[in-house]
Amino acid sequence: MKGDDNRAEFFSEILAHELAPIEHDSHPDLDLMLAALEGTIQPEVRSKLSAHIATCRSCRVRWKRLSQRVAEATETQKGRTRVPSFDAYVSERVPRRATLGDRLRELFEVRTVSLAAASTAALAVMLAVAIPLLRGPAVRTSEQIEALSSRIEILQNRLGPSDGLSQFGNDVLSSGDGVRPISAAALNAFDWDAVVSYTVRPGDNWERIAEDQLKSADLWPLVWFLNRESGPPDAPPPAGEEIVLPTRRSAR
Amino acid sequence: MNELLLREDRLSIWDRLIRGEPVSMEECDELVGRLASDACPEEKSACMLLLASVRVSNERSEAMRRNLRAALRYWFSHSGSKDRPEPFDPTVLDGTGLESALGLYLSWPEAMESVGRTTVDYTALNRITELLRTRCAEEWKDRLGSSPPNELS
Repeated sequence: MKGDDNRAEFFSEILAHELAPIEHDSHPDLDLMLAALEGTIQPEVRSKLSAHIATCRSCRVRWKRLSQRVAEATETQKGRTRVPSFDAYVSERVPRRATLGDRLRELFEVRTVSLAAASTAALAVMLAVAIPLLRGPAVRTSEQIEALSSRIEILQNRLGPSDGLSQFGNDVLSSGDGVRPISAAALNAFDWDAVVSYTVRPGDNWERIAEDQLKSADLWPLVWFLNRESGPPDAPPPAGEEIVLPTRRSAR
Repeated sequence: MNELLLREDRLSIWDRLIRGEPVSMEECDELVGRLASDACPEEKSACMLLLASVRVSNERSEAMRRNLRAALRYWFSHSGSKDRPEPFDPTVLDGTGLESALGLYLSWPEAMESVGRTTVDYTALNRITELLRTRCAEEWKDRLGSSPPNELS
């Protein structure tokens, strides 16, 4: 055992000798370090960078700081994409006794978004979810009906009474204005709490994203609703922006 | 100057071994071939240990390769001034290289945890140490044609 200890110590000393500081003529730039942290450089280059950092005190300090900042930024990003459950979301954003108008004004006035457009989309989302359920043809199990009805009820209670809601819904649905009822099956095919990031591509709009990514253009109001901080529903989200999308539930 | 370049190149290979990436014997042979005949004992020892480590990573089982990665991370972590966050989670080292280990002063159980294994004893460390000693002594005799230092005998 003593021999093992001596040998382990010998190896440790050899490796400590390997790490003796070197006066380097040049140093890695910020881009290279960032690329290494992102894992986007060739393994050989990355290992040479590691060797440099291991023998250069100033670069080691820079590397540590940069790693910490990247880690913090990653955490922040994770926080941004962690979306609360639908009920929690509503309960957090909607004052219990606020009217629908108050709620919409609060949501959109600050961002100078057209109140009319926002109201239209919010109501469309409500109706898109509620109408198929109230009509009830697509729901297969009583459990699903109960869970979804309960969500709708919570939403309606929190939003308070709103004259004209049904009229508006009927108008939208009968006008063929791009908003169609969403079946419970389509809604339930996705987990709206477990989301993934998606970077908006040039030419994308809410409907195209729903079509391409979720294979159902009808779900676009919910996709917008999930990302409504990205802008009004009648404007495409900015290209390059990170939005979130629901994940498809695995088939049972 | 050549000695410094050679050391940097060796460190690149140490980094790849810690990450568990393949390193060919040919690549290592070429590196050791650049070792000057009058190099200092530390240089020679470092080259022989590198050869032994690459040989172990190429010839032995997955378990032994994992132990090698843990041992290298363990030894390298005991270099430089101590700098580790507390509490420290060794699993964050998974997939990281040399630069992440420095100054962490890992315990052996932590080093093993960093490669996905839980252990409370030092058996695996003793086993890999003994294997490296044997290989190192063999390489020393074969390549340098002299007796290895006492620590390797």
